[in-house]
Amino acid sequence: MKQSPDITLFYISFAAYSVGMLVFILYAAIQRSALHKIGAVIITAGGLAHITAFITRWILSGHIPLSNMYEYISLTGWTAVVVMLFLYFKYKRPVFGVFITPAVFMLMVAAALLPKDINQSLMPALQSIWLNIHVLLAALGAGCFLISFAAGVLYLIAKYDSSLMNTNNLKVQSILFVLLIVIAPVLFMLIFTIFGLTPPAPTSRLVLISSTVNTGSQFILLGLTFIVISILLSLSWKKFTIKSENGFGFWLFSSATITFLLGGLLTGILIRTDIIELTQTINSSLHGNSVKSAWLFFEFIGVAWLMSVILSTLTFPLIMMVSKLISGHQLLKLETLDEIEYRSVSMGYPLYTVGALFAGAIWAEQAWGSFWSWDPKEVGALIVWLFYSGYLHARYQKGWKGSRAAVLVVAGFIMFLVSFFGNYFFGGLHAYI
Amino acid sequence: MKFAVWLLVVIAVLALFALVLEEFLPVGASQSNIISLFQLSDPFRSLWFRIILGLLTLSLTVCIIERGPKLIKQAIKISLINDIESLEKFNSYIQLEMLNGEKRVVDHFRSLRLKIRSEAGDEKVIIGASSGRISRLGPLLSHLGMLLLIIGGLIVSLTGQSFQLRGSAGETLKHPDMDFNVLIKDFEIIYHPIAINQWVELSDGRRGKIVSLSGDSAQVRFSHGSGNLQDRWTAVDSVKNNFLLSRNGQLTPYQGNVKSYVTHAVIVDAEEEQSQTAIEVNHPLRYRGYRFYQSSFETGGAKSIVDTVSVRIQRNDTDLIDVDLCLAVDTVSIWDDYIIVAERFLPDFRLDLNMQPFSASGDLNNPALQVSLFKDSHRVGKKWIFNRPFGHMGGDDLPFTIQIIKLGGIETSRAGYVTVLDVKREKGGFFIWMGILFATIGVILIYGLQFRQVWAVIVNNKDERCTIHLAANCRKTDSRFLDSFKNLRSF
Repeated sequence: MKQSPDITLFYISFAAYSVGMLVFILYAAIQRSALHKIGAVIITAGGLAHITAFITRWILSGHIPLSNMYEYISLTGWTAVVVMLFLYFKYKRPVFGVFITPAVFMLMVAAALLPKDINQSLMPALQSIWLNIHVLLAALGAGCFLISFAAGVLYLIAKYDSSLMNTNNLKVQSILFVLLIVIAPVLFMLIFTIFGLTPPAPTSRLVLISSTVNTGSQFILLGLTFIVISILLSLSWKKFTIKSENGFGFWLFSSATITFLLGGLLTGILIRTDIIELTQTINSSLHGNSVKSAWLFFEFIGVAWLMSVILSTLTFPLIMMVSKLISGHQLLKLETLDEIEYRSVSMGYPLYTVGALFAGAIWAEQAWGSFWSWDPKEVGALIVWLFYSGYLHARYQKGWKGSRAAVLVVAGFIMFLVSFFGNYFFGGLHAYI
Repeated sequence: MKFAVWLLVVIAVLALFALVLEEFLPVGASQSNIISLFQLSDPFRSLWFRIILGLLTLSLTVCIIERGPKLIKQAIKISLINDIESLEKFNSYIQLEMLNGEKRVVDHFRSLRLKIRSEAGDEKVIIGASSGRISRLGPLLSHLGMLLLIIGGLIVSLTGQSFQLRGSAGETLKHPDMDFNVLIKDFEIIYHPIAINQWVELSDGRRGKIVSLSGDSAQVRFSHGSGNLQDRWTAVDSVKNNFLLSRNGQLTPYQGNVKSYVTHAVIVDAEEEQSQTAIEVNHPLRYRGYRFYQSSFETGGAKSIVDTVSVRIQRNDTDLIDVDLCLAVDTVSIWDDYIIVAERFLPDFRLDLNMQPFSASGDLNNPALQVSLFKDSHRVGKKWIFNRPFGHMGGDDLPFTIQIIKLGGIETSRAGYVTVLDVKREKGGFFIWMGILFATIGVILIYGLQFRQVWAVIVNNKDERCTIHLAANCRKTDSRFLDSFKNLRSF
């Protein structure tokens, strides 16, 4: 079957971003200024092809192409590219390209793997002008949040001081790490037993590895372990870095965050494409029908953790390289990163507030009869909004800048991703997307 | 402010916690004491969550009262600082000495597109300059908007009324809370025209996906045997495209490629029919505070239409009478000036979750008639009656026992649809609309405009030079503005 022209354009932009990313990484490695200029030109060309794909798809489908995850992720990626190019040309800092292009690349990978059929037959609920306003503004806001996240992580990495990677710190971290691996699963099993939750029969299988081995419980334990490790890593990061304003905790924290995000994204893609199966349902003896497994969420986290470990072999060297690039050559002032982080949130916050929350509420009133239904996606959007509201208040009134602000935006974006992919495992009114 | 920041974070964390709880607590799981005590099975409507939202309301109110007047003042008037000690407290404070200082400062402020206000005294000139003052109303409006949203949400949750109406074409739908009725004229499902990528069913029952269209013909691709694909050209008119493909590969009829679900209805108010209207998804009918939403539909079996219902009315063991109630005319006099009225007939009586009656199908599985009894033009009572003597369903106590004994003029039509309408009514919607409006304007003002202000105190010295004390305030990060301000040193 002949490929739709918008898909061709999408793949052209994908190819351009991929090449652009490689050129930027090459620049990071060998420090030739011509390279980042070439990278910027390629990314710009990719951005033009991308927006042309968007417009073409709009014309072909007869409605704004924001009716499924492929279209939403694609537009979010384009927004991030536009903001990245704006920052690149305004601040003349190639390191943005080095750091943001991989994030855009991952979004494009996700988009490329999702179904891309043009949906001319829009379902009744989506036939509203509020679809355009709600999703467009939310996607643009998300693109801005992605930039702030990248700036926040860059900030944390830029604070990294290799001289603090001394034996004592490493010992403490290692002991904590080992203890957590042992304690975390026991702790979580205890908590969930108190709440009356019992795990379903382990019916999950990771087809990628084996189609016969049941791995549900193992994933659960891995997932629970990861959550606690993440929390305590953050605490240890605080211990070593908030006071001293630098330390290897930054590196550890940034690496863990990025790899987990990429792992989560990859897991979502693998589940979406049916390469990985999780426990979808359990049988309820009370009602005789199927209900969602309480453990699905933790299985997802578990698989994501496993993927993160695999991906870390790629991301750790990249992060180390960027770290050296920043700290070794002082290409970027911390104040500049801080300002970019704030400005990105300042751009994204009103878009997200009006688009995701208010336009969504008005649309919900028209389609479902109530402004707010405490639907999982709605709650997710609210949590993201509360987090960024907290960040802006803290910054504006209390002058929170630097490391603490960077941590908040990183956490805010993680919340955003949970909300963004949440409908895959939470269900709810947005489950059709 | 510190409290507000922590509150936002606490609400975010609690909302996440509540979300996970709500989603993953198994349905019907035995509820422990902890779950009951903290209402964890419905966390967003629990007392503890409402208390937290109450604290947020309190925080917003205090913020508005505390900061509102100051913000309004800043928006209306350019502030002046005549106290040099106050200027010195700013991080951006600088002190310069120069000739003709007032003019140069004013010129520089104008070049920055700032509006200027000044007051001249004997020994010093005080200048205030700012831009984007209207943005000072942004925080006030956004906080006021959020407050209105919470208040509106609270009123909606307390006064909200919600129920469902079900009925098929020709049926008049009533509800005890509505003093008007809804007559269903028709219900239809409109499908998108045949297009590429749609799942379709051919006349021989095979199902596939349209891969291309040419004139009146469509190329349909089937999965053939062991995963092999096979294409076939067929006439567009001969395929049905109303299927929805589920993730497990099942095709469900009536659910796919739907362009619109439309209920054509007429409001009957005070015996008068209002103009006919269409109720569609995204296009609710709004009438006298009620909103009617197209919620879903049911496919019944054969639809049965009944003309008359014969009922047996029994006063005591010996005194009984059989009456034919015509559903169109529906008023019959019986003993002692009593009049019986047939209000509503349902062929397959059921109660929904809100304990409202509806017909589960068009079949005569459980026929029920709602009758009213009048005496001297006053209603004595109203009740649902069935085809058994003590099958009364709620309603008022009537002085007689009434049961259905026969149904007349039964006609069975082809399969019909039963439309399901969600009906909502609440107060507080106005607050929510105003809240959204205020908060939207608020965030646009805050982040769309930039508030910048500069103060100068120019002290005239005896040697014709003057000392200029300057301080700037741009609370958002704007290094360019502050750098420009520092450039005054180059005078």
